Amino acid sequence: MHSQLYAGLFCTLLLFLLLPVGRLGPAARAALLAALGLAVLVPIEGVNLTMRIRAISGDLSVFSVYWLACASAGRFTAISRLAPPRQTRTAALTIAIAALFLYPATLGLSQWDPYRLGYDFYLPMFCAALVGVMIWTGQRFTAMAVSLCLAAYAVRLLESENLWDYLLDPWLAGYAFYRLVKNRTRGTA
Amino acid sequence: MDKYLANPARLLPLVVSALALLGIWQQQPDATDWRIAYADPHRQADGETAGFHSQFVSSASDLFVHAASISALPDGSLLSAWFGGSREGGRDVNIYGAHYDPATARWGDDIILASRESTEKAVQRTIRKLGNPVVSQAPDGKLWLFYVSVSVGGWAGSALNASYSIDGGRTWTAPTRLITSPFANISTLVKGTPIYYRDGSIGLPVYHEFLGKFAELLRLDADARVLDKIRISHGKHSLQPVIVAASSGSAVALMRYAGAPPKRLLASPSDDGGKSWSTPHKTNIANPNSALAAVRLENGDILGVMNDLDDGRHQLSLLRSSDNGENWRLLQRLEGHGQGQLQPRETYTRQLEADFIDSAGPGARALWQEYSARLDKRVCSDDLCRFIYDYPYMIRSPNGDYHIVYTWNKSFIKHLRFNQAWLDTL
Repeated sequence: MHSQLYAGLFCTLLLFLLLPVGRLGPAARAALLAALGLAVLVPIEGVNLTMRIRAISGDLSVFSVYWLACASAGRFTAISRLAPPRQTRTAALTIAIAALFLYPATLGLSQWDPYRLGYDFYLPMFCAALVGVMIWTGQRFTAMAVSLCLAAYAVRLLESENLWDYLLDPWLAGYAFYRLVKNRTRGTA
Repeated sequence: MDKYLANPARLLPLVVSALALLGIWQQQPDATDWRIAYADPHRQADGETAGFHSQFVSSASDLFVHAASISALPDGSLLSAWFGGSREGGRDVNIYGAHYDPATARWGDDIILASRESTEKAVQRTIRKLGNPVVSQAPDGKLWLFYVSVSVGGWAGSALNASYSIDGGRTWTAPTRLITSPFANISTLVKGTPIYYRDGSIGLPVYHEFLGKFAELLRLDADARVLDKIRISHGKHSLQPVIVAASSGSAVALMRYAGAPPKRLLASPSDDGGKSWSTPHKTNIANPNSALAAVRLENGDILGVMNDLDDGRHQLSLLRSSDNGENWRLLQRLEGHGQGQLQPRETYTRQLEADFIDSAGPGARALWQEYSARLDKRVCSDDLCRFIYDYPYMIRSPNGDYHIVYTWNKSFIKHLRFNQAWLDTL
């Protein structure tokens, strides 16, 4: 049940961020968010919107959902408080490095499968150390995201038994690469 | 340091991480036991007469059926499962099953074990199609059903579902989704017989078809939670592994080959219970990119069922290997017609009728009439038709009998049952 509610949450946030809310005030935005939260769970002929989105997207990682939540919160208040651009750039870089490490080998390029690390205790320890480094360097956004991934993994919030699925998903990886390329293009323009 | 003392909330992620780490550590499973729960194959009683029997498992004449598996149940009966519908990948495809009653030596009616709708409801995702069911009786009494479902795209978009029965397959738990891939959990399929470990965990041979084609061993606990997965091969050419154990430590994975000629069956041995696998190599038997089945014999030989062809699936053979799958000797041609070329419908129908009656018995004339009136795109294109015998699955039941099920011309699931005495005559 909790994985269904989790899926409902990320579908709600996704839709909220995709819809234009320019002229709406904070109260109307809050009402829209609540309405979307209900709408994604209402079944039509036994199938709700969450089931349709989830079938295509898979379950988004906790890192993604935290990012979506911060971005959604940014529609109510100054985004810089939760996810300042400089910090999300670091997050994008971290995600991109992790994706390059994980996906090619996992998809069959080598006999060694980094996805296996997600069943071991070493990856959680590495992530905890990463949280420490991120705090030390002032990267609160990444630190908070990774710590929430660890907490969600500890209670098995998702169906997965593998920590990688809490940290990363292909959509997040795609967005991270997009952000990096966009920043690079802006930087050189 | 002062900035952290001034604002301790900055340390919140570290506190959360530390608590999470403690929780994760407490949940870490005990050290994995890699000893396979291997039991020497049953020796048949001396003096038993040779027995070989064939019949159809499925009974619908108008369904495309495929990918059968079979399991012996504790009461001496059998359960076979397959998928069937109007076409492969159709939205009306269900996972079907049937029970075999040893007292009457007959298969019962087809029953639906899982449907697209029941799977959707259980896993809370829309499902486009179902496929490849594997039924297997675990030593702890659970009868497992693993099967594939696809939400988006072709078979490369597959994910695994697992449910179990504790009443011999009459009722099943709601299926749970196994998360086995970081890429939106797509592209894990099942075909081979599971192995069981001494600690009660399950070794499920699986394969991937998205971008690459490679084989893995999924390690599941006794409740089908994923504990680990071990790569048997990598790259783009190996799939549908069948694991044949020889002892608690040694096993060989035999795999379908999807690469360039020469097309040969692939083999990859393991001498540590499946914890690691040597690089797959080509054996000396042809494999036309088709599935196989195999079991270990009591003298250590391997008995295999496969399409021993360079191309096509018009011939299915029983073979024996005395060197862990490297070389194979033909024991019996189980099915076979011509060179695999398309045949005119009239010639084809005559041969098919003889085969059908041979398999289903003379009492099945009515079923033949029904079936032959619907010889359609399952095997025919315009007025040309082809024989196809593929996707074999083989087990040895506790009474020592061998059981093979396979797809018969995409139209029926066929069951072969024979004993050691029959095998010894070959």
